[in-house]
Amino acid sequence: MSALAATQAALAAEHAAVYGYGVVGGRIEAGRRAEATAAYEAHRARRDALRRTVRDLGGAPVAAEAAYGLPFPVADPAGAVRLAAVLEDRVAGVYSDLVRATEGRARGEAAAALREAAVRAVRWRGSDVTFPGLAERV
Amino acid sequence: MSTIFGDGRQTGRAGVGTTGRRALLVAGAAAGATALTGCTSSSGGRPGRPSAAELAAERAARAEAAQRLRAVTAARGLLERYDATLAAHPALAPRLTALRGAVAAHAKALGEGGTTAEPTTGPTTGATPAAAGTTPAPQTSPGAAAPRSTPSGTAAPGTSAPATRKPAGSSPAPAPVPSDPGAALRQLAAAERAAADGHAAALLTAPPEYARLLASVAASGAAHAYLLTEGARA
Repeated sequence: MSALAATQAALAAEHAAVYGYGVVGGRIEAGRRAEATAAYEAHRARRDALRRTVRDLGGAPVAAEAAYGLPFPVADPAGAVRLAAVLEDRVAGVYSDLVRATEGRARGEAAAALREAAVRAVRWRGSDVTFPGLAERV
Repeated sequence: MSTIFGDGRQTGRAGVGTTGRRALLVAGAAAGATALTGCTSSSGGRPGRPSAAELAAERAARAEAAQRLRAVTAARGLLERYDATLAAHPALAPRLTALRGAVAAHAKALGEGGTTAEPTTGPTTGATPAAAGTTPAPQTSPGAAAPRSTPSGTAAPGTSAPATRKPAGSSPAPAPVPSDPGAALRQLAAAERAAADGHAAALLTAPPEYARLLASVAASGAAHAYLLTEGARA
């Protein structure tokens, strides 16, 4: 995968994460709302940075979908937490691919984003996965 | 296999040691090669001088093996910190066992493909680091057993000292496990973070697929550090 294609894939995933955290924020319990808001803001920031990167690479940034299908119905705070963990897992997956497809500073940024996603995932889930972002090894 | 760099001129070539062929594709990216200038091997037995491309490929293969050795050594050092902590605080087992298992899996994965590029180099004195790729067995530390091929100055801070079974005595040994369980967990979290930082630095010069693995292991280490400290209060 080219750096541009991998960056576009990461951007698309961040669009989905921003949307998903909107759903999370609507269902999350009050005690974890600040955490959800912080994650939402973090994904927005990554999304904006990826847009710039796509342009720098000569591409036209992919746009967000109007709506996204959720992997399962999110009806209560527990569902919101589960969704948040899934969102982070998916983002981790695209960032591991972005690490592979890039070099230098871009690679370092992708690795940092993967690390942040993995930490947020365990915060939500309370347990870890052995190889965050590597679907073939989990 | 990986053809990410698209330069196929050296693919399919045989007989360049035991490391993955993809090492041949990234000669230009293998900045770590300079760490190994003392490790030449001219025992190949091929008459004539190797071509520049062959030398570059060999250098890249050796650099990649050195990267694997560094990463495996760091992961094993971490594993031994877990063992030392568990020995000192058996009550922490429910908390640590799964995390230790993940670190063992990291060590195994990081060593896949071997940690020596040229198995014919140097004496074959029993415990060679070549075994690193197949078992996570912590009984020998490559850094201690085979300093001849250890890349200097590339080990992660905090995990560079080859940990021995008992945290005793000599200066390169790791710090003893604190008697307070909370402090022991914080020490372990710091070791996780240090190892993760080492992987994060190393991935910048690693071949693409290995960089991806290093990034994942680093991310897992950061998550472990969270679980070992912040997670305790949740």
